[in-house]
Amino acid sequence: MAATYARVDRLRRRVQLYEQLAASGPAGRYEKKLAAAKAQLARQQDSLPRTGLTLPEGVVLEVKDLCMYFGGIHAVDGLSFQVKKGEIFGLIGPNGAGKTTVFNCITQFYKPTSGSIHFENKSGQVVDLNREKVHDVILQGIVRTFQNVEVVREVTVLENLLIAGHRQYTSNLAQQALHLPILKQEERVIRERALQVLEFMGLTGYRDWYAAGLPYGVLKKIEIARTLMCDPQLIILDEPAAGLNDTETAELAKLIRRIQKEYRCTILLVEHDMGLVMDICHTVCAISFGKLLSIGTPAQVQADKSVQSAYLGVSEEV
Amino acid sequence: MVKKQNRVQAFFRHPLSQIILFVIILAVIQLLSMAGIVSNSLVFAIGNTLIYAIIAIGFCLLLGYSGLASLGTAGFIGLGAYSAFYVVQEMGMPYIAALVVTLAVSIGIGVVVGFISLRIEGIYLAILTLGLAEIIRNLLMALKSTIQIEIENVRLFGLLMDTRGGYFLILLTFAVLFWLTANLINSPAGRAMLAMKNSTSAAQAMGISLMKYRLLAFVISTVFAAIGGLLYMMYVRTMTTATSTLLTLTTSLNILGAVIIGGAKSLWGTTFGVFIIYGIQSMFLSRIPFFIENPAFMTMVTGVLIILVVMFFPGGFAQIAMQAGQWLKGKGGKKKGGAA
Repeated sequence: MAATYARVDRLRRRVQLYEQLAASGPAGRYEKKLAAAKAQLARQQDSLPRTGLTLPEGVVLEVKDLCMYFGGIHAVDGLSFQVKKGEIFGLIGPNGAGKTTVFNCITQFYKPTSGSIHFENKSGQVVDLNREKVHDVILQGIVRTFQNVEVVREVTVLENLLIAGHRQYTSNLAQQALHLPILKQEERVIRERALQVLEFMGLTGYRDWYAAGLPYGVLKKIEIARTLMCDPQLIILDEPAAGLNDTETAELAKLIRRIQKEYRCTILLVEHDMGLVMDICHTVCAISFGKLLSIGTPAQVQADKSVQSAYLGVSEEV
Repeated sequence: MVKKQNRVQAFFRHPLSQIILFVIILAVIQLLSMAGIVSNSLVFAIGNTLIYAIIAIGFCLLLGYSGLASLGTAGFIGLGAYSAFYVVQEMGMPYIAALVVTLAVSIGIGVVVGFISLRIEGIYLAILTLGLAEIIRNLLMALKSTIQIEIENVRLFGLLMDTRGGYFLILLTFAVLFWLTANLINSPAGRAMLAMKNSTSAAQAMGISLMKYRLLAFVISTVFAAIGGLLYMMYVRTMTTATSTLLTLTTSLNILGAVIIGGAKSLWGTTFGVFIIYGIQSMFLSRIPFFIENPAFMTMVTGVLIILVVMFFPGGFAQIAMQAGQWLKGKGGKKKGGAA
């Protein structure tokens, strides 16, 4: 199943490439190829297997009865929540509550012990993420960042973004080994997009710098920039504010809002900085020991007694 | 004037023109030896070194780009050498058939080791590949004590591949494989390998399949090593399996050393590193009486070189060359500034 989605994604890329080439290059040169690619894409899309899954109106991600056990440790234990399309959704909880594990389950770094994760992908189809391979999740429109920055340190910032655009290349290994024109055309288009993202993130000045040795705040920005390279439907940020100072955190809040607005995507984040979470999130979900404590607007969750006791402990003197 | 200079610089920076230049220089050396200006033994040594350079380029992709450590290079070379002998000498088939067999066998082995590398990483992978190489060496020793191909049988498309013809064939193979590898490095595949080396989780999150690129890296390095063995059997034509150092850990370590000394991420650096390691051995050290009496000490020189380079220039000769270039540029710039 994943292979077919991969093919549809490749074809969509190819159509985009030819559209851009037809718009910029000499007239009549790419129109024929564009039409052929479009027809092929339509055929492939029609023959995609229907999953038969549905999600409630306006919901983009549904996690249901998710369990992740590591031996006797129940890291996530029967967790359910829904993320609405276009919202900023915050997942909070004390250390060891299982927040990152939830993320790892959604992005298939871990295969959940049980439970379902349904997601409405870029084609508008609802898919069961548990059936995707970890490196194919990105094709559905889900990208993530990491708690401890995972930037490719021995290449430049621009090349980091090109790596993030890896699945947008349609040329195969032979075409790459021979450096055929199709690769160069793709490279041009994807480079252009990377430059746009750098501009958007305010990283243009760092374009040709090697990532090794750049300040932590910049590395965090590079991670976020990478997620923007592939028209994300859902961006998953794992502690984006960790290690940032107050000014940088304030900037980050603005940035996350801007991303959500301009890229029209849903953002799911784990964060310990309560100020940031309460400021930018539309919905907050609090968990503890892998179980749901409370879900609702920031104010509702803040007022919840069980959340207070999970964070601060239960008061002896009532 | 400046524009012209830029164009010249751009020409020399393009990998294709660099390769062509390299090929022309080495071809001229061969022509000079035909004219009797350069000694035949030197040219033979260069041809031999080029074979190691082919192997080292494949290893560069594996170690420098994919971050996978392997000590099995010698085994893969042996595979290529033995299949060349078996197909050409025992079965009496043409040399091109040996190429096909070698490719098939080495791709198969590469895929197997690639799959293993998905489970075992780092030093354990190196130990495992070392074990594999030893298995292959002992297998070859059990099969045949001396593998030899008669010169009449070394024909390619009807042309006799003697030392001269073989030299040109090696040069051509080197150029083609170098060009393909350089292209691959400068495309999404090369970047995917680097991503995989730096962070497997980030690579996977970006949609890079670890299986695909680990397999690719191992297949390429195994194929290059096997082609090296194939060319060796064409060029040198004889090998004693029990005593040949080509099949022992020494070769794997020399290739590793060449890649590290040259600069693990630079193909030219790697080529240079091979010429340093094998060139020093065959051209200088083998003339000093002490080393003739104690050939094992030659490896010591390689070891000292590796220590020095890793301590002072972790980027290898590629880094030294880059820094020297910058230093010269800076000096030139200052001069211009002073004149104005």
